[in-house]
Amino acid sequence: MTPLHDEYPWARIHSLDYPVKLDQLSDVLDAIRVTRHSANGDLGRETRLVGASADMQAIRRLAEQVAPSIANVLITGESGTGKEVVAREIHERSGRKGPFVAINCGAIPDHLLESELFGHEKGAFTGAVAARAGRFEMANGGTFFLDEIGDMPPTMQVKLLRVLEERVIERVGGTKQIPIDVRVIAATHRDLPARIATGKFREDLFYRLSVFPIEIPALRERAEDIEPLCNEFVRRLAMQQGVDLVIGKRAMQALREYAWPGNVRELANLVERLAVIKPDGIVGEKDLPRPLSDAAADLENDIRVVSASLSPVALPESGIDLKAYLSKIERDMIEEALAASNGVVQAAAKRLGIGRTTLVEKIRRYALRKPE
Amino acid sequence: MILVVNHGREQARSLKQLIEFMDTPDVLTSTPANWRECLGDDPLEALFVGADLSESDVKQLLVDVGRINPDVPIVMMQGDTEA
Repeated sequence: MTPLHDEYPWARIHSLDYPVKLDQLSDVLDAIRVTRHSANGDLGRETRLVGASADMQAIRRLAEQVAPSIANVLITGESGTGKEVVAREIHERSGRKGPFVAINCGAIPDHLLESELFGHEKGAFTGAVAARAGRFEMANGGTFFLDEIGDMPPTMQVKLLRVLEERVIERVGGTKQIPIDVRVIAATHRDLPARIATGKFREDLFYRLSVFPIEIPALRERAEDIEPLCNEFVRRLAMQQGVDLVIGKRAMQALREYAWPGNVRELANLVERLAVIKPDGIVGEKDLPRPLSDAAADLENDIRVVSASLSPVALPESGIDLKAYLSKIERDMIEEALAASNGVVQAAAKRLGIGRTTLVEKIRRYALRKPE
Repeated sequence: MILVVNHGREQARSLKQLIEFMDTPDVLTSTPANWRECLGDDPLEALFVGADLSESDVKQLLVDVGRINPDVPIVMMQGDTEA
């Protein structure tokens, strides 16, 4: 933390060492994206609900109906079904001027959750060198999306219930009551009635949150959405990475017949992976990983394919400068991956099976330039 | 638009290149004196503040950016500016 926080408490200040370390820069850029996305709503995110099934049409109608009100919404569904997409759709259609702010209640350690939600005053605890607004305050005038609400610890459930009832918050270590105008949307993949029965979730909070419940069915229950979703992911990949991917009829049929335990998220990952393996071609049935969920078997298969396509190298009698030779191969591979990925480093790193920062290090070492 | 405000042109250019390599396009470099002109009407999405700026330059920059959009993330560079 920098003392600048004291003078400019509104400022979202990050720090970065100079000379720049790539992993630190990568972390800062990721954090900025989160902050920027939280502050501005939908930057870089797709909010459109995709799908032609009766279920998706019903969900679209529900989202439209509830959007203009300030009713709390509880979205339920298996992991990867797109609960946040629905929440964003509601926010987009609500006409609320404030930001869409999201938090994953299950991803934040219990002891930090209260400060994250409600903010804290300077000196409230060790390390609280400046006052800081919490997510509720950040979402003022907008929508606050509480993901994985079923994993919220019981002590926080009590505090959240009070905020929902009284529409005021108190920062940790503070005494001032701060009024908030926030529309709350919660989501969970858990069976909340079952958790109420076992004492893990408060019944009064459940009823307060589920004023307007929306349930998203698993992807296997709406197979007619698979093709439109695939087409949408292919369209996004074409826009982002210039990849021209076509999924053949038989492959599409295989996708429709698969159970998709990871739901829409698993489908998106598969399409992205197919784009890496077949960036400019028609995906046939044989190109699909078998079984789709067996990632380890797929990886082994990929390695076999790559190994088979490489020529065996004979060691010259006069010997070889192995280091220089390997560097040359590495440089050529990186250049090729960058060109094939239209200069998108993240995509090139994926093609090469290395991390983004590792690739950037190598690009600098070889003094390569990104293709324009 | 991501803006790098720094006196040292070489450092700013090198940081711009690194940020762009991280798949974050649209990075501009400028000095404290001309950043408004450089930015023009583009929305400011993040500000990188060079370690070689004076305290008064930094404070003025923060105040001016806060007037445009207080939600803009600000990254303060820290360390040896000669490196």
